[in-house]
Amino acid sequence: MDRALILRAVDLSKTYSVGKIHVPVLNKINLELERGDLAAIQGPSGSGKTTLLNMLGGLDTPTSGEVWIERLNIALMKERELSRIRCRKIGFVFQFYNLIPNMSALYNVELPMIFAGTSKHKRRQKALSLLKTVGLADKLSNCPHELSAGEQQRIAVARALANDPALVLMDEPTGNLDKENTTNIISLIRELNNARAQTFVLTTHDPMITECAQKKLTLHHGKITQGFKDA
Amino acid sequence: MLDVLSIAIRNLSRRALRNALTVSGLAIFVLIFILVSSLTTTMQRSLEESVSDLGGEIMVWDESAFVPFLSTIPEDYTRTMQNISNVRNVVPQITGVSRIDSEDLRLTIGINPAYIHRLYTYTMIEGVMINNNDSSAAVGVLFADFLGKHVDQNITINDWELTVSGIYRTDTWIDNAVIVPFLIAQEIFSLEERTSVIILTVSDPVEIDMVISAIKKELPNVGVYKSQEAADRLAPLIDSITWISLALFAIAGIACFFGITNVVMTSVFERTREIGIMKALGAKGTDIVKIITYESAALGLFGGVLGCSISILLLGSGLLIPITSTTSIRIPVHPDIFLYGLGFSMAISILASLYPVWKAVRVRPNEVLRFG
Ligand SMILES: Nc1ncnc2c1ncn2[C@@H]1O[C@H](COP(=O)(O)OP(=O)(O)OP(=O)(O)O)[C@@H](O)[C@H]1O
Ligand SMILES: [Mg+2]
Repeated sequence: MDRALILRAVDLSKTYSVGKIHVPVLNKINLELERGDLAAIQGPSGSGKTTLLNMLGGLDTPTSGEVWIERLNIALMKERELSRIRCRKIGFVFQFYNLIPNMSALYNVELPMIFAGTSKHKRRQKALSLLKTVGLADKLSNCPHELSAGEQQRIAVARALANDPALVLMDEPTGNLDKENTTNIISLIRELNNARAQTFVLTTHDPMITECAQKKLTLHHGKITQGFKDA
Repeated sequence: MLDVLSIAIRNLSRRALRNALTVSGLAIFVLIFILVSSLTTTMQRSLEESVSDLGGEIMVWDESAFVPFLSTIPEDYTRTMQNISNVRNVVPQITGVSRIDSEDLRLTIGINPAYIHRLYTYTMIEGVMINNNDSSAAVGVLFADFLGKHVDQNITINDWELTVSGIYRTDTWIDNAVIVPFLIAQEIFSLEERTSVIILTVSDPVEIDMVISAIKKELPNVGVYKSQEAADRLAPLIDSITWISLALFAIAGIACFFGITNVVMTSVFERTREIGIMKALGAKGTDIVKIITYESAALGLFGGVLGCSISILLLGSGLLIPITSTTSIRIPVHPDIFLYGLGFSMAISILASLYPVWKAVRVRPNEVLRFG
């Protein structure tokens, strides 16, 4: 069964409340992704792309609705079980990279594997090969503040891939990259997507990324629609 | 687990100055703890010793004599007793009743001059206490007043003529007696190679019953008695020393506790974002607990080791505490105390991190990841 369901959102809603004002950001979103899908989500700034990814990745709890990762509804999960899912099933690239300051690039990439309990040797090997893949093998002992924004972003991509997650969520992964590095990241994503059938969900404004996505989605006024509209 | 430990160590090295200050604070606590407890045990010991020196702790005499004055036992029993462990001083003492000058039934105490100050507390009213084995005598103040005696006058005991070296006051019954050198007393009372009683002091008051049974075993036909009232009278003083030192530790410990809570709290707040990231990357609650607890435990360990090292230097180099105006004693170092110091230091650090840890575990990833 190759085309297994990896991610399913059912009537997913999120309303932020600031004082007495309730801001509905996501409104009954339905979404299905299968193993090996590569989905790009587009939408104007403030449309809720980051909010949606946070819900899908178990970083935030929806106001209502369900999020299924494989056969588990993470919307109902306790923090304890959730941390296991985040560790084993999901790789996350944050919009603002969120590397740990004062830890080397290498250590940042190793970190998810530490939480997964990977042995030191395996961890090191894997981190080195990931850093090589993102073209930063020569910067492995640099701390985040000694790296450019684009380099930090690539480290964040390497970190997201560390535990070979079934689902990789990337929030504007090429937002700070030049053409060459964007191409590198895209070919890396495609390669992983093809070879290992990892599922990717990317939010982006970059036509280079949206071009290669099989599923193109647009988020607008809290609803998701197939295909891209002009923002 | 070791990997999480390495994260903790990384974090510590990041705030080197602040953590160094924390460690110093802990070290001072440990130092206070070690010094004060060594000091109080030393003071207690020396108090107990001085008490046991004063009145003696065990008296040995011939029970069939009904009263110690009439008892005579061989002097070489002292040698047997000297070989019993935990015995400090063995002092033969002659208590003889005889005619002194014109007065009948007066008490003479014969004792080696070197031991007088260990068995009795006295003040000299006139002259000096006997200090050699010459034919001299110290007269109790009441008896001296009664006889109208003064220094350098002669006094006659059992027809032996002695010179008065001084007049003493003890505020006890022996103010009505005369003290002479032991060897002279043996001659006066014709007690060659014999003594009336033997007084022993014990090096460790706890061992007194052991010593008594050892004497009874070696010398079955003598009476052995404990005189511990003086030590009992000191108990409240020793108790209050203990309480004062406990209060001191408690205050220093509480101060350290809040100091460390503050430091760990600050570093948790500073790292809220980082903790959120780690959780987003799959860190479990227990991982976060470990990272922060290891950090504080490491602070406690360094503080403890530093405190112990400083106190070893201080005590090892021979820190002396004055006991009287003329004598000081070196504080003995018990290895246990360092283990306790280290343990306390770590316990305080770990306890102090409980609240910050609780705060850290409750950090939600979505609350911190939104902004760059
Ligand atoms: N914690 C919060 N409390 C209140 N409102 C929030 C909160 N987080 C996000 N919002 C609001 O939700 C909306 C969606 O935010 P989100 O970050 O998901 O947008 P986005 O599509 O990722 O935008 P961008 O492209 O600029 O990154 C915004 O209007 C934002 O103000
Ligand atoms: Mg966003």
